[in-house]
Amino acid sequence: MRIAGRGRIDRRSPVRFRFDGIDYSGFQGDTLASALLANDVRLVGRSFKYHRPRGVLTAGSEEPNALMTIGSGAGAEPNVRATVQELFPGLEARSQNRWPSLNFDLMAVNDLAAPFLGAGFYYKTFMWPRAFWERVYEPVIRNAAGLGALSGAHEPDRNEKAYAFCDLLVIGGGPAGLMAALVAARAGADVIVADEDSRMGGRLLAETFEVGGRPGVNWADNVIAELNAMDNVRLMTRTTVTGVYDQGTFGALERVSHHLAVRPEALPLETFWRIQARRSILAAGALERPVAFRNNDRPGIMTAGAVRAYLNRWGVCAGRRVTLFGNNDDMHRTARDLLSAGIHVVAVIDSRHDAPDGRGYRVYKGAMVCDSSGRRGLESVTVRSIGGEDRIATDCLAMSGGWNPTVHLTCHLNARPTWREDILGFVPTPQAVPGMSVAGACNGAFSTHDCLREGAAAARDTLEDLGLRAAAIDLPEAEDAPHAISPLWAVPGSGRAWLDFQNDVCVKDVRQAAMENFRSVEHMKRYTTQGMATDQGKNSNVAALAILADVTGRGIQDTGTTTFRPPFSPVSIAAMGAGAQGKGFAPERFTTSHKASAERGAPMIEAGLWYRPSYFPAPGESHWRQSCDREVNMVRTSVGVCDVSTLGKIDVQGPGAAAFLDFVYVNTFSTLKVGRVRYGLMLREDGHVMDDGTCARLGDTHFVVTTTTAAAGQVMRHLEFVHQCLRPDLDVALTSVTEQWAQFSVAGPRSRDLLNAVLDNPIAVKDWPFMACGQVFVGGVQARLFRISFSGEQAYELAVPARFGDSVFRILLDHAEKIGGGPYGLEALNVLRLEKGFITHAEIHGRTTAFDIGMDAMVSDKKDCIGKAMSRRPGLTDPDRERLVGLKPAGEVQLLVAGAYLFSPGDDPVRVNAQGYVTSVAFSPTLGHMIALGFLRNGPARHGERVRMIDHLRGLDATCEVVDPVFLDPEGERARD
Amino acid sequence: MLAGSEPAPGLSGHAVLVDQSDAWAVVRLQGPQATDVLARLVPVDLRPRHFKRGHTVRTDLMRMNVSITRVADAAFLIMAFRSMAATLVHDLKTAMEGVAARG
Amino acid sequence: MRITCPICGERDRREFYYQGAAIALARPAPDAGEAAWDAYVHLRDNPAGVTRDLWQHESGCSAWIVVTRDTVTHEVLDSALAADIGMEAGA
Repeated sequence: MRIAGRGRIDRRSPVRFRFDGIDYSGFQGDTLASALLANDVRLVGRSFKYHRPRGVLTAGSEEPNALMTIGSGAGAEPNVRATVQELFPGLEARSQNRWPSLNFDLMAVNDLAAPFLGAGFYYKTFMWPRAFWERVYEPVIRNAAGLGALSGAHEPDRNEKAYAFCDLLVIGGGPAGLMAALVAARAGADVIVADEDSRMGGRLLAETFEVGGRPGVNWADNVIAELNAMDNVRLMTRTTVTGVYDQGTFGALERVSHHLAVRPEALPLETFWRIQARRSILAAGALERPVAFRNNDRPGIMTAGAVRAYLNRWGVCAGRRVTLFGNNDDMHRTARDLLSAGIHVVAVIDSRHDAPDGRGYRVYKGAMVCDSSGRRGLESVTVRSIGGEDRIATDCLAMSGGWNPTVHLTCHLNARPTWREDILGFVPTPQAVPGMSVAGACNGAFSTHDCLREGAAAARDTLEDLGLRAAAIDLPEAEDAPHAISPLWAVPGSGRAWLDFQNDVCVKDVRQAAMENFRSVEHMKRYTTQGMATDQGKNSNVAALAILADVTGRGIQDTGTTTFRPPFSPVSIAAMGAGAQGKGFAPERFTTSHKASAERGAPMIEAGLWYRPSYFPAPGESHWRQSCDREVNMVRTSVGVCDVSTLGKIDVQGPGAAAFLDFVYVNTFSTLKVGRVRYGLMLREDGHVMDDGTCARLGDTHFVVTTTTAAAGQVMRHLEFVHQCLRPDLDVALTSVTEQWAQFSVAGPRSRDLLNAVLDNPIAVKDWPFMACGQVFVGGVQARLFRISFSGEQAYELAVPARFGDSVFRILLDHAEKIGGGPYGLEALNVLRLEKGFITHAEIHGRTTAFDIGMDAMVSDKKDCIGKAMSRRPGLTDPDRERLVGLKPAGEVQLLVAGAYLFSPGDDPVRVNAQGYVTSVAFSPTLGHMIALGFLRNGPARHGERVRMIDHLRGLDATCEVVDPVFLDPEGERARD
Repeated sequence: MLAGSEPAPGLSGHAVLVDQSDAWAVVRLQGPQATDVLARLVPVDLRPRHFKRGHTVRTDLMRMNVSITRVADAAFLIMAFRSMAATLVHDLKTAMEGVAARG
Repeated sequence: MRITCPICGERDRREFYYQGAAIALARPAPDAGEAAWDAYVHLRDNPAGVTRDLWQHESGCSAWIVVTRDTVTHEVLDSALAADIGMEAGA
């Protein structure tokens, strides 16, 4: 119910929302949880395993029960904590994990089967009959598992990633954090303060404490205003620091627009930040512990701190007759706040025998709550004291088992926290994270005064590290109550006492795990699933391990904690993958001829990051083979133009250039004359082929190396490695010029005619023999011409500075079309090279050697080179290795398929009998049948033999003849014309 | 990298010079929130306090290799590979829209 | 993880390409024999402690650097240009 005169909600701005189909009203400033409680909605969900009715337990991000689906359609988001979701007009929420309704859930039958569903039951059941596992048990369990469901639709929202840098990252904007930020910022440090809440202030927002003589909230507001006005401060609200990583790197999730009713289209839903901080201060506060007793999970049972937060921050009381239970002074603090708001406090049940007296309320000293009643909402609790058992009618129980400092981030680099018996909690171990100090409640300092003091002290120490001077700062006055607490982990008795509300794990489950010898805390966790839900045990870890310690006769420090890992609270995969959707996934690379090719309707294929035209459909052509066959014929009878700019081009210059190239190539380039090009092969150091290409000598100390498109980056990196790491003695400079030059292949018997229509000075045959290179001019622009051929026809490659690429491409096509030529794409490029037995990375796929592809003779024995020594290993030169051959159909089946395996006729076509495999296939319009390249054991000695080509996946069985890989013009005369 | 003027005549005697004038797509990003925009894309601290006018860096912008120079108080010169010009514009535009939408 | 490039300063590790152990700097002589070459290409120590790796500052200056780091504590202890270190055997 709503309490008048309390809370910092805006009562002038009512907000309408819907929960499970029913309309309600709240106020601006409410969370979904506070608004539901204000409307007396106590039942908010059903538990995971037993489907027990559950209510709101907390007021923060550690909430285990009130998990809901917000929104509908593609943007519906499951498992949202109602305690974190800010209310906005038109918000639609639905409860989860129940059917047909929250009030009447058929799956609650699980609760009756509880004796069979205890810890580890799934290791002991669903085993028989075996066949049932896949067909019956698994589908049923899958259906029943999980809490919320994804929409299944494409993610409609944008998310973002971003980087931030600072001198000091303050994690937590409560009294300790604000104080630390103030001291550091006033001294000139670059400060970022991050808090997961929608406003800074931490616990001050939930308490009635005074700071410096005025309400704590007002003090916080003043500090926030001062910090906001400073250039060197960045305040990040709704930002959870999710993880600590090495060398001062932090991950943080900012919930940018979950609280908006109307979201501008470009506004991200979430931003995932990487924050680089020289120093950090953890001021993350503490989380209250529930107490485990029989039936402690009913709607209406909450933590005491949450009851105060709902009252003081949101003006909501969770019940009309409130009872309080626990082992420390928090219940009394809550009772006083409730009384001052006019709410009936039935009693405080304090487990301590030396509990203080209540002023205005009854106190049961040395007593415990041992049971509760009211399935869909608390109706009564049973109190056990020396005098016996009493039943108390109550609709809200505020419990406090103590406070757990929020140590998590200090443990992300594999440190463990330290147990403190005086506060019955773990605190961070010093130096757990290099450069991180800890202050306030997360350090076990629970009074407001101590928080302020530690925040200021941590900042002063940090400033010293940063080489800055802290100005003197007055600590405002604040309450300094001691933290008096007495152990109470579980109330003795029968029945189920809940520890992990999310995964439905009880005290008896932990005891059972220990009994079955799962005594280590890591084993107990996995066996019971305690601490494995989305709250990651924030509400149960310490109690569970205390019980485990007790049962196994060890101390709590010895029992220890499990490993803490990022993220602190759940992060959506959409935020992690921000920026990678659609076109953002990878850069797109376009050639200078892309526009002209697209205008001609050429479909594009992806070659790495590049887009390249597949073929150029002519009018009347409806199938790619028609275009491809035509283009192949056009190149072999007239002339074709193809953009080959994507191949890597590396400029190699310097006095050491020739020696350098001799070292990286298997063959010799120091003997290459100026004005000539030579084909080269590069090996990896393990003796296998890395890449092939051509190398042109433009001057005594000036070469240009080409690589394949796919290996361009890899080769550049390799060359830099060789130079810097192996041969720093060589004076050579390497520059990638792939982008600088647009390069076009002009190929076919009429290629010279086409060039001479375009070049400023026509070229004569005698001046440009096969494999010549040099400078030419096109329209006054300095260009390079290389007479090299990948098609086997007379061919050239013309390179112009990229700004002229589009223009030169269009001019070439213009002239080409006048003589029966035109553009050709990658399909035709591939057929042309296959007809000539030229290899690509389909053949040099990483496990083939120079020997395998028949280029062993290219490896010079006069010099060392990368890969030479290892390439001589007997296993790499065994004639029986799979070696390059050509294949053509020799039987009824005319289809050849790449990836097929080769078998001797008569051999059973199983893997152990495989003689080789097929790497490239194409239909050759020049020869009129399909051709293929592949690798066959002792291939070169088997020309003329018949082999079987088998592809079991596609059901292909074709007889082939093994032939020379060069199908056309074996002497290579056409290129040398 | 030498940009904006022809190399001095004698320089080629002391160093290898390779013309890259056609290899880069260049954009100028300016406005009071230019630093915020680049914060979405670049893993280097570009804030005016640390990256002053005249400072230059080679780093990543999303997945592209780029050169970034602060040419004025609120303006950056950004260079990416020519072939990736469309991606550069796309990524900058997306970041700009996200920053502008925060108001 | 942050790595300091000797030329560019401290950068995010995503700007770097990781090759492997710095032993790659100690290339054996062509006639050093099979065992030496097998060790060079295939065999690596896997220390729980200080290791020296080769990284390239791919997104920055393209420098190859030798990074000394501790695989247990994750400290990055040193980084130096590979070209400066030269070719010490047994690196």
